[in-house]
Amino acid sequence: MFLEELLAMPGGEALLKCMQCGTCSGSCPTSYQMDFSPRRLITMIKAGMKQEVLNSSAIWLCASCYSCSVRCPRGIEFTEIMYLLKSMAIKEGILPPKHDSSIFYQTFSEIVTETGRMNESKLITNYAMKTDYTRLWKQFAPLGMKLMRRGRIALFPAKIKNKAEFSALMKKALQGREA
Amino acid sequence: MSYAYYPGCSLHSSAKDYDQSIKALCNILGIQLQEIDDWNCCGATAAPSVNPDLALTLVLRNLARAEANHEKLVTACNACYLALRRAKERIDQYPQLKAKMEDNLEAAGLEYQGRVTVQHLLEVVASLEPGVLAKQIKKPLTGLKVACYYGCQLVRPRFYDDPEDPRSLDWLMELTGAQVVPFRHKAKCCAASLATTKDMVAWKMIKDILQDAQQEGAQLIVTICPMCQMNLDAYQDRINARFNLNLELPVVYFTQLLGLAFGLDSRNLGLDKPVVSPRRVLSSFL
Repeated sequence: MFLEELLAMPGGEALLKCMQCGTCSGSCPTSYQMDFSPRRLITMIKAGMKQEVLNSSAIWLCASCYSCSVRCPRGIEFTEIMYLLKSMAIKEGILPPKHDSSIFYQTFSEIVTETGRMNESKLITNYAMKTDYTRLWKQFAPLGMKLMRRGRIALFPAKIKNKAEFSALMKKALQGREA
Repeated sequence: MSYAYYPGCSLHSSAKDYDQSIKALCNILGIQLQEIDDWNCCGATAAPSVNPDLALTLVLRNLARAEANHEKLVTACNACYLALRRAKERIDQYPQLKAKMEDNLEAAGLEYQGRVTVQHLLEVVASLEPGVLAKQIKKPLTGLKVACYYGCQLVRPRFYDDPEDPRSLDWLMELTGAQVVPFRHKAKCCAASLATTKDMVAWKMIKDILQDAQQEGAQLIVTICPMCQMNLDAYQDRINARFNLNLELPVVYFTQLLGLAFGLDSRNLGLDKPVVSPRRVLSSFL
């Protein structure tokens, strides 16, 4: 069951405290763009509407600003619930129609898991190739030029030294996910 | 005061000027920073969105490495700060996560005991005695009108200062002699990675912040996070084109402005790095 699944996850147990006041939706800077507002998502979770929730574009519009979390009168950290919903959607291979943020987060995590450090140029390139490659010149080249002119682009990709230690750790962390 | 320093990935690439000004400032204030040996990315908000266990594991490797030599860790990036504090808190709150993470770390020969504390550099500097800071001010920023921008992930969910109306940066800037303008958007979201994935949504959020600062008469925005700096600084031309505006507000780090007030050479503070140049606005202080 969807609700039980979430209640069992660290951070998910707070869901039942919701009294549907809507403070979360009113505090959210992007709720006006969402197909389902945070308040509504909680009700849908309680109603067991797993497919609708995990397929919603709303979960990919959360910018993790935590405004909902600090204002909730029942102490629900909905930002944490959003992380859980996003990770569940990814685990189940669900890509909503507007899935750019999902691909972005996954690309980010792949680079970090592989090299230990973020490489901003690689992130943008890989992300564009997986979503819409025309973004490379429409959206990202103008930004890249501005940053390059001011020496704000790293010329050599950052890596960590203890590769064996880090790989062993990542292997273990990713295994836990599958189990 | 000796700290394990966690710069985070941005401070080694697009926010090198933040790193540079932090080192110059801490040197003057006697805050010793020792970069954590072989630190890795904190995972920001991407890792918890993809895989909750991966997010905690990434952070704990850093904390384990930090506490090998230090009791205190300091970072100057809001996203890093939140990732580190969040992981610490979750390990304390959920014993099942603690056990799982200990098992993960063991596979790499690491151990996390939970001794190290995590602070943002703003917190460290703002908690110094006012006299210690005032003593260093060689070139007061008298007459400079600044809007203090905190972003989200230092003040929310609950870690430092007030989640809706933080004041610590305002106080620091007033100490330099600058005039702090009232700023309703001081802790509103900069849109973070939405600037990459949902640019139209992001630009509206950024526009609202910039316009508020401008309407309050600010000559520049001072911030404490590399992500916020990038979003507020780098898209102003696109936002102007889209919304038919003439925004031109430099966005600099608090360490750069404090450094200037302390009489440091602007070349050692990286003030040539912002996309919207602060040179004109700061001309009488350079």
